[in-house]
Amino acid sequence: MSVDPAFVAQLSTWLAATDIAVLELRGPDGTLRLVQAGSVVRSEAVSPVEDIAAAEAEVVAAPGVGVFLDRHPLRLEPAAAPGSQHAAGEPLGFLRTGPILQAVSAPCDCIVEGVLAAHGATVGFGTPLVAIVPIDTGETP
Amino acid sequence: MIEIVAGAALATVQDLGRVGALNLGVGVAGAMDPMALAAGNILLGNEEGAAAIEIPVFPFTVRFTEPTRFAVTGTDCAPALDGKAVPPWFACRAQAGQSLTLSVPGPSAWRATRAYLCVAGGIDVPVVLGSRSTQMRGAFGGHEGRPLQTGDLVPTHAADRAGPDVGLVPPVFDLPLDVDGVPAVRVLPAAEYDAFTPQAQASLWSCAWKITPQSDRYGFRLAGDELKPRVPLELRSHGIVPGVIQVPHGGQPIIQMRDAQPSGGYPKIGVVIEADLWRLGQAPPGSRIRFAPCTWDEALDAAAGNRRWLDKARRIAGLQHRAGEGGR
Repeated sequence: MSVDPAFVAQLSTWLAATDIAVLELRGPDGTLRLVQAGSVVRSEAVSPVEDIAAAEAEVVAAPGVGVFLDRHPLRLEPAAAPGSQHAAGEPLGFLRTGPILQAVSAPCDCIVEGVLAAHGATVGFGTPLVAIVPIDTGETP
Repeated sequence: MIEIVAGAALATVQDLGRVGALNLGVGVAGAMDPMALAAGNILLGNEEGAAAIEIPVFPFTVRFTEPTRFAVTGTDCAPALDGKAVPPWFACRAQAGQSLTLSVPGPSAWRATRAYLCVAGGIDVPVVLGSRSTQMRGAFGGHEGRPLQTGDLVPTHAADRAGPDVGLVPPVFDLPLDVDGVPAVRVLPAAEYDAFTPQAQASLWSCAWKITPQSDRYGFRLAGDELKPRVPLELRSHGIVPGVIQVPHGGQPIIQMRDAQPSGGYPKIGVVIEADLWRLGQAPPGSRIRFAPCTWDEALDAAAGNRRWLDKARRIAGLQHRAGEGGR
C-alpha cells in the first residue's frame, strides 16, 4: 500500500498518544498496519496472504489447468478488479486451453479483494486466482 | 421456444446458407459470419450448420420459455441473463422464464457488428430448399420468411441438453488478417479485372476502402478511389456470388453479400474469397477495409485454415462434452 510518509508519521503520533495497540488501514491496494512497540510506533508490511486472512476473504482457485486470462479475449478491461462487485456465477477471469475457455466464476455474490494471478500466467488446478469477500445477502443458503 | 421481447429490427433466422439453388434464381442467404455461427453450434454440440438468430441491431431481448442451453457468438454485446453477465462465445444455460439481453457493442478487442444467438438443437423452423435461412427477396425460409418481430415465438428443438459451460476464443485472434494495421480480406481478380485502368487496379489493392452506411446483408457500398475501366463497359446480366466486387458507373465498388440477387451486370474487378466473407460480414459501417491480393491456391489454403480451426474447436470442445456428460 503506497501511503504518504507524512500521513503515516501523523497517524503514528496520534496512535502513540493512545493505548490502542494496533491500527490497521485497509484499502484496495493493500493494508497499512501500525503497531505500538514500547515507546515507538512501528509500521508493519502486511503480505497479501495475511491481508486476505484478516478480512476473512475467500480465494477462488483455478478449476483446471490453463493460461489465466484476467479478461475475456474480446474485452479491453479485466473482468474483476479490486472493489468490483459480482453476482454469483459471473466470470472473474478465464482459463484458456488452446481455443477453449473456462470461466473462473464467482462462487457467490462478492466483492473482489484482489486478482492473485498475472494475466497470461500458466496455472495449475487449485492455483489461487482471485481473492473475494462474500456479500452477506441475508438469505439462508 | 424463444419469445422475442424487444429490439428485433432486422434479426433473422440463419444457418450456413441455401447453397445449390442459384440456378433457380435463389440466393444463398445464410449467416454473414459463418465462423461465429459454426463456433456457437460447436459449443452446444450441434451440427455446425444448425440455425441460429442473427442480430445486427441492439439492444435485443428474448425470453426462454423452457430451460435452454445457448451461446451468444459474433460481436461482444455484453450478454446478460436476468441482468447477470454471461461471457460471450460461451455455452450457458437459461432457466424457463429467464430473459437474455444483448446490448449495443462497446469498445472491444474485435470491432464487429453481428451477434448470433445459438441454442442447443438449433432453431427449429422448416427447411426450404435445403436450408433454414431467411430468404428475404423471396420471403420464404427462416421464421415465416421475414425478419423477427417483437412477440414472435421462435421454435427450438430439444434445447435443454446437458453439456459443459465452456467457451471458445473467437477465431479472429487465431486467424488475424490486416494490411498496414487495417482489417483486410483476400481478393481474387475477377473476370473484368483486366478491363480496368492500371491506376484502378493499383487503387483496388492500395486504398483503405470505407464501408459506407449503405451497407447491409444485400451488399456493402464502399467509398474510396474512383475505379475506372479502360473503356466504358456494358455487360449482360450474369450469375454472381456473395463476395463479388462490382464497379458501377460511378466507380465506387459494391461487394455483394449474402442476400445479393443471384445475377448482375456491373463489371467485376475482384471477388472476396469465401474463406474471408466472415471477416467482411462483421466489418462495421464507417470502418475501413483493405483488399489483399490472393491466388487461387491461397484462397483454398485459407478455406482449409478455417476448416482446421473449426475441427480443432470441435475436437477439444467434444472432449469437454464427453467429460461433462453426467453433469447438467
